[in-house]
Amino acid sequence: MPSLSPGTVITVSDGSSLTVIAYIASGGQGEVYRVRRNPGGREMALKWYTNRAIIDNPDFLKTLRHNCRHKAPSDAFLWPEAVTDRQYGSFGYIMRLRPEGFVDLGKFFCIDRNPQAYFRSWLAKLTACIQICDAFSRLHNNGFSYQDINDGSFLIDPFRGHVLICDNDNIVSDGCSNGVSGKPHYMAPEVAEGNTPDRASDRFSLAIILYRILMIDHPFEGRSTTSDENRCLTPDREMLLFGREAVFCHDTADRSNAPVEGLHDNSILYWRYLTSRLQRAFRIALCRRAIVDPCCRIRASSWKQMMLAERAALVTCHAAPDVPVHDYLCEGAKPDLCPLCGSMTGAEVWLDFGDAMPAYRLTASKPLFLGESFVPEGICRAVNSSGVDSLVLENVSRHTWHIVESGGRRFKVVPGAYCRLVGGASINFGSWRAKIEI
Amino acid sequence: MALADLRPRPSARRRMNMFYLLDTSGSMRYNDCIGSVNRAMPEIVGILREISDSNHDQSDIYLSCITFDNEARELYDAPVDVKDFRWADVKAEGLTNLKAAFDLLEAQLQSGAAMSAPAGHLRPAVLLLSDGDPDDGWEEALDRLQANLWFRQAYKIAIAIGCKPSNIEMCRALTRFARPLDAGGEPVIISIDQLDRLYDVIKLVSSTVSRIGSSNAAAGGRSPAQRIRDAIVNDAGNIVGVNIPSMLDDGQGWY
Repeated sequence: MPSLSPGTVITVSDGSSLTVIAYIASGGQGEVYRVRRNPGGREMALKWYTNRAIIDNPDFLKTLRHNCRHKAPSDAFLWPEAVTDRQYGSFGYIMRLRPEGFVDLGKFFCIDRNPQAYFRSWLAKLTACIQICDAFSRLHNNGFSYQDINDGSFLIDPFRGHVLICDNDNIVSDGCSNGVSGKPHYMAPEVAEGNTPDRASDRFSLAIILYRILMIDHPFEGRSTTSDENRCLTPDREMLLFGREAVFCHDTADRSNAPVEGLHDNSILYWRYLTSRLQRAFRIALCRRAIVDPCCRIRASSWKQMMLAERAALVTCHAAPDVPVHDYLCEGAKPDLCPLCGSMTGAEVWLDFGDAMPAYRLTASKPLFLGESFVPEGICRAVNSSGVDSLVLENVSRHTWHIVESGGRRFKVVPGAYCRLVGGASINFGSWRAKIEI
Repeated sequence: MALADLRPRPSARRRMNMFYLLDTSGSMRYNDCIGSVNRAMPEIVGILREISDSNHDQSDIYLSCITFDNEARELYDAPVDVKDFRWADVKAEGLTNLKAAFDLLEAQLQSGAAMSAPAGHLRPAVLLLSDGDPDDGWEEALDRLQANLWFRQAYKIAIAIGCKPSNIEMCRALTRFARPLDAGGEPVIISIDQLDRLYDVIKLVSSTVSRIGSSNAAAGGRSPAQRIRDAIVNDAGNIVGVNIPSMLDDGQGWY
């Protein structure tokens, strides 16, 4: 039975108050309510602690207040905005409400129970990875560590890949401890052995989360973890097999834990669609050396750059009129046939941004994202003029582009208009400039 | 042209089997204990379904019920996925043939159907609920059961209903049954004096064991077995009329 009933008024440490509207859910630490903030009437979420160990821990409240004083490192965090006073035998904090359309990451692993919880495109997967890496890069740069990254930390929009990060009350300044120990299958081995979580242990968990977003299955699940010897996965065995003795299922040096057909089909299937750049990165991030040596783990900022490069090189296929638009990862030259629908692949154009960002491949129906933005600047379209297929770029931004063709002709592309993608021309998008290469 | 179906398959999930050994002897009619069991079990199935769903890819909870009076009977001949489990009300009559229940449990633990999930298993849990001294023969059956690897690794919880100082054999049986063996931790035995609390206790124990056991999660330096005991001692100990006896190995020390 929920601890707070609708209509209960809760005072907040900044002098304002909240009125409880409805109970939403509960977890191991406490309960979540929909509340109305007074004055103003803004609806927010209240996390209300029911776990005695937290309620009685003065350091936890102190850390929570400290985090509230800091701004959220990025919009992805459902960050604590204000702490309540102690009352009704406990306390809590308020944060933004979880919007519609976001799904717990854990549900993506059980499509049989959650038929709508799957990424609709590789772009959505890459977007989720980029947003997560960006959030943790900023968090780490601000001197914090998350401490307990696991599949329950993320809410994701399966269509667009946009991410929200929850449970931010566990976050502490790097090197400090709040008593959180992490979740099996995501916890770094040194944390499982009693060390305080830190940025390096966050990086271990982050690599697992990124693998699972792209591959769905767990990177340490394979032949060995499901062998007869491990038929009963006791907590002690689990700590070893997913920690100190973990073997990456695609480890080239140790094939003892390779994925098993029928059990780890996602790890088998999706691995084939990864670029060699990403395969290499996962082999580095999840190899024996990175498992045991925290210094060898890949930073969130490095992952982000890799994922941005993948987004830039992604191919969108609109070649077969009778199949929906789809996309796939592609490093370097585009294949002659689409690996997903088997059609002849259409034309492509590259935008060369120099050192400012990776060269960006444009194919029919692919949105153009500039830098680290998730708002499309343009959409590439295929047109057929006098029997000749060519690509144009639609300006879906709010500002005008300036184009200079190789012959010196200049013209403008206002929002809503198109421009032909002609080799040698340069486009000034405002903050970004690119040269078109056919 | 056909588009390759890149929708994922569900990630492989391990299985956590939960076995209930429920006393349906005639004395369970007293104070409508059998009614409490019949009311609690359908609710427990609902709770376990929610826990199983919220585990995502960690584990599925499977359920088996063995009732015992003059003989032992199984509701299903092997544990079934809790989403497919249907409780059928039981009646109380006859004696307390705990031996038959132990034998039937051993048979299930040895069967391929129960213990051969493709992705493997987590530790099983066995909950024994009884209100009287068992008939002869239980000790030999328990010896055989304790040689079974799955039983040795299981979380074991015993619930004693209306236990009196004269119930020496019942104390011995439950104490020996609940011995942790390979699961570690301390025995978990709950003694209910106020029989109308049985309903609450069965639900509490079921949800605690399934929640912690099916996620295999240690916390705060405590193993899952220790966490289960902590939670039950803390929560059940707060229910009026419920005791957590500290006992010696032979069942002495309950009082």
